[in-house]
Amino acid sequence: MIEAGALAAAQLALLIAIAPGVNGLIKTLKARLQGRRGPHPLQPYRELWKLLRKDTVVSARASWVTRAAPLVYAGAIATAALLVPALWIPAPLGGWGDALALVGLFALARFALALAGLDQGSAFGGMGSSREVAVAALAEPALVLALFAVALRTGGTDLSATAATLAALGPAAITPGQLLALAAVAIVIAAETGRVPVDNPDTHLELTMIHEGMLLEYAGRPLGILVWATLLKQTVLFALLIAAFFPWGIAATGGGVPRAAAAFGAKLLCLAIGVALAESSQAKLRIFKVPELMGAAFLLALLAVVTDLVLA
Amino acid sequence: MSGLTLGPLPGLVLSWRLDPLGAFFALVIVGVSLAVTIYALGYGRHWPGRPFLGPAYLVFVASMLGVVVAGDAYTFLLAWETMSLASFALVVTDHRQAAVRSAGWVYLVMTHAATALITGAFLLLWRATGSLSFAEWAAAAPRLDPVTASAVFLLGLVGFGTKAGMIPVHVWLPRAHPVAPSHVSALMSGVMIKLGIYGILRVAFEWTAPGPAWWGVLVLLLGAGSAVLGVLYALMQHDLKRLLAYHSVENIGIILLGAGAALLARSEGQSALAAIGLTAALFHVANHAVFKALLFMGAGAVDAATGTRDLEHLGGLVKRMPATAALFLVGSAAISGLPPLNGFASEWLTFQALLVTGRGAPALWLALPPLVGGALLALTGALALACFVKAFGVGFLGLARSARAAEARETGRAELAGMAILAAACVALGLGAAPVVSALGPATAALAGSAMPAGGAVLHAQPAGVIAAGSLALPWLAVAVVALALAVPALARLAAGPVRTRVVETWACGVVPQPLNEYTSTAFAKPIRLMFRDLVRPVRDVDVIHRLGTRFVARIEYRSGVAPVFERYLYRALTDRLVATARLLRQIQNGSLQAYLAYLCAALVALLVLAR
Amino acid sequence: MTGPAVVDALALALLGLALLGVATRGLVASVRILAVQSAALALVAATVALDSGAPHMWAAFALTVAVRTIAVPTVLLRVLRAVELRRETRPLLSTRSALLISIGLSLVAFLATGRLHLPGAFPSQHALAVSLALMLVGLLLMITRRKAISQVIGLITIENGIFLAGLIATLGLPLFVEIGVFLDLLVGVAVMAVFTLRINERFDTLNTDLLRKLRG
Repeated sequence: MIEAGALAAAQLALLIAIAPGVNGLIKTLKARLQGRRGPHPLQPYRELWKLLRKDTVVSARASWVTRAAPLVYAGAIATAALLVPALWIPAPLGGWGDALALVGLFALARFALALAGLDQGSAFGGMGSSREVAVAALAEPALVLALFAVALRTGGTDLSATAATLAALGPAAITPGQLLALAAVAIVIAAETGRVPVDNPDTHLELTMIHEGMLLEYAGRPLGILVWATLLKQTVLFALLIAAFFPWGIAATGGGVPRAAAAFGAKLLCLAIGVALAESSQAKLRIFKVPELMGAAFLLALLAVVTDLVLA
Repeated sequence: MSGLTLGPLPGLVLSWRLDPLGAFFALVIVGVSLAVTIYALGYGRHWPGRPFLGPAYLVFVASMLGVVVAGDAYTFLLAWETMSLASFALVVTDHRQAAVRSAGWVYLVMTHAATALITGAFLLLWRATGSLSFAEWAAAAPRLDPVTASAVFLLGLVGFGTKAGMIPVHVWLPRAHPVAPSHVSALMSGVMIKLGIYGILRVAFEWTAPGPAWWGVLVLLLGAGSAVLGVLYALMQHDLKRLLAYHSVENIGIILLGAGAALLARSEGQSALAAIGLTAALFHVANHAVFKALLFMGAGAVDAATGTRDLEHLGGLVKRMPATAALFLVGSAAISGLPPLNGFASEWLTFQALLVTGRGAPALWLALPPLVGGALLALTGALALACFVKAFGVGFLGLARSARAAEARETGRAELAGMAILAAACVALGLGAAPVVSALGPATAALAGSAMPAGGAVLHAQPAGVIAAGSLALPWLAVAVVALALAVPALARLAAGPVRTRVVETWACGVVPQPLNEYTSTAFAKPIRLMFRDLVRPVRDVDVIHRLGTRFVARIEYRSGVAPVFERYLYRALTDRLVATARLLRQIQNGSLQAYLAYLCAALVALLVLAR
Repeated sequence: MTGPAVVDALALALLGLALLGVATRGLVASVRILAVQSAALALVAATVALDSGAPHMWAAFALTVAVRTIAVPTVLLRVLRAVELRRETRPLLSTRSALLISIGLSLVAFLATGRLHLPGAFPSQHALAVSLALMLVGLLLMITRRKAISQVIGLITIENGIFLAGLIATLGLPLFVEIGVFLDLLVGVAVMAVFTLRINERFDTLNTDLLRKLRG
């Protein structure tokens, strides 16, 4: 019991600790690719530290929903972080939730934040909420169908067991169906993390304010919590991608943890490079073109399912 | 308990039967009716002079119970008709308005058409088995020939589906539920439409032996269509109760997805998988009853306090009616399928049922419908979340958009008590999902032949031994979320010290903040309306009226709505055809005595010639 | 001649009279033909009574003579004289067509009776078929005539057919039923008479075509 609690705390601490670093790395890589020097990879840590110490400002027309939203958001994302196997299997809350529970927790987080966007009574918040829930609605079918494609191979939606099965299979885990599902999930992650081509995470312009719109009225510590939780969400999604598609090197026993850490770090680095490349090589889509992109993701996932069914 | 018979007419006796499935539905009926009745005790003061919990209401509840404990077709139809008539009387409580009368009329016609189809199915079964008793039909099911079985299934599906609110026979639901008083809407949406599901389950699982696979695929298609179209139409509404009515259509679709998966699995002989789908469907029946009744009661409270159901005129209620807002929020979270509430538990189970049915299917065309159904279920869930962010966010949060909303007062204690009971039930059913699934074991075993594995606090999606089978322990997840949510500010405070909070007005780019700056319900739904315009077919009318003789704009009128696709292409075509035929046939009744005698003579001669 | 043979001959005579009634256009003549028809029917009743020896048959005979042969035609003639009606107006079918259809209906009646093999208490060959034919011809009369009086004549023809069938099939209907039927007939004729007089007073016509305007 105590050991399980310690493992849980360790995983959570690890993921929380590296989340801003991953984002900082992506930013620096993007800047270099675009011919700029860019910020230091550790800059996000400094910004978050600054935010956490600042006084907070709350709107007069806001209700308890605004005060509670950052806490619910952070709590849900942190719980999701404990559901996904990062360095070792099983994940700390592994037997109590599966991939669908993870999707549900993200939905809970989104619900809280979207309500907060409307609570402050500004048009920016409303627009952010409206677009966020619309994009999420389009992303969910593709995500679930891709998870189903993975589950068809491994037997179910439990993430720890999926990672164990695929790790044991080794290179044979790569099949055409899985690759198609990987592509679908990659597009969905772009939508869920608010990256190009769905949203631009670097600006605060109206046109790109899907996520930022809902955060606009927050300041100080709650904003720090929200930003950190958003970065954690991105890291959790990366970990989900790794666990569901290429979990090799994950530790099944205590002794394999150093190797698993190295493998995990290497994979995150590859993902960061991939994201930076993807963001630098395409432009943001108009919001009303996003359904086409999500439709493409859905078709990829559908193809993945059909391929898995036909070839199995 | 079975077989207590009374005989008011020779040859037709009333008989009763209580089996696990009936007991489950009876429990749902009684539980929700209790909460709604407590609510109605307070709600009735808004309708002075009318008998609020009068005979129609009591007959309604009693007849619903009668439907689920009926033991043979005669008793069932008696209770069913009584229920339809009593609910009609309740729907037209406010009959002085033309819209109410028209809605009641549509409801009456459709429910009677449904009853005709159900009677047709019953007559087919009677002809095949020779008796009207349900127990005998269940026993004779394996011997039913395929054509009769399919005919019974289709008649039952459409007939009971009309009562349930399945697309495309749902058109009475968004008309009748908004115009009825809120406690009636809560009962109708929460409980009465579930009796349609009850009928479908009996027809498909008990009175016809495992049928061909296309039954399951058909139910899956209808379920997916109802779910997606229901939630899309709901998103387009800004009348709070019409929005909730369309959500009922959506949730019936979700229930049908679970039932369809079970039907498909059963047709392939996999009773363990069928148990999962059936458990998911039954669980969602209970969950939807609870949170839909809660939401309708909340909508009624808002309507009574502010005088309007229109989201565009509400807002700011979270500060004026905090208790109602909190309870409505619980209902909204539950219907959006958020953990750890009950909506998530049954939707999770439905996902698992669809996944395992798709995985266990022998052919591609049998595996794709459940898997794609799962994707569409995810779409539905996300759209439902969007819709309730809109409903709660625009209706309760921000600034009040009308004077009456700004002066709203909190609801009465009776109403709050009724709502609180159901909100507590939402939480309890969510946290206690595993025990509830175990309790549903006898019901699913009777229908599908096996039950889901019962186990402690963790919900297992599949029998033990399947690798990577999903499992869910909502109590622990809830504890984790709450603990982490509370730990975060504590840790931050520990690490970075205390901070102060200042309260200022929202920045609106220098303009004095007004309700007009806020996002409206129509605006909120716009991205989705545009993204799904092929399915929803929105219509938009913008009229720019200039001041006489000039180019100065005097007024801009904007009208937006949804093209009534089903009414226009399906129902109007049918009714026009019907009226044309009736007009043709009217020429027979021409008032001439000679003509009538001639008919008589012709009939007599025909009989004489043909008699043998 | 034996009883059955007499009855057969009388039955055929009845049919002939009914067809004659279809061919006639004069109303007084029609009533007189009806009276003769009822008299023939009374003779059939007498023959059956003689043959079977049942006492209640004589009561039926007496009633037939009193009501059908004497009372009803008298009332009808009185009414006709009161409204000064002599001829039927243009009927719906020409006499030739009506006759042809009547013969056709009679053939149908004979065909049906032959096929159905109905049991009869009285062994007469054609009487049952004739009774059915009388019913159909009476129905035809009611359909093709416009005046209310002609329609009553058709009604009485039908009743005659029923009475004949009753005689043959079960040696007369139970007395109670007979009395009921006669009462019904009397009342019907009385009502018709009163109505005809009143309608004529009111509308100055007995044409039932105009009654169509009363449809709902």
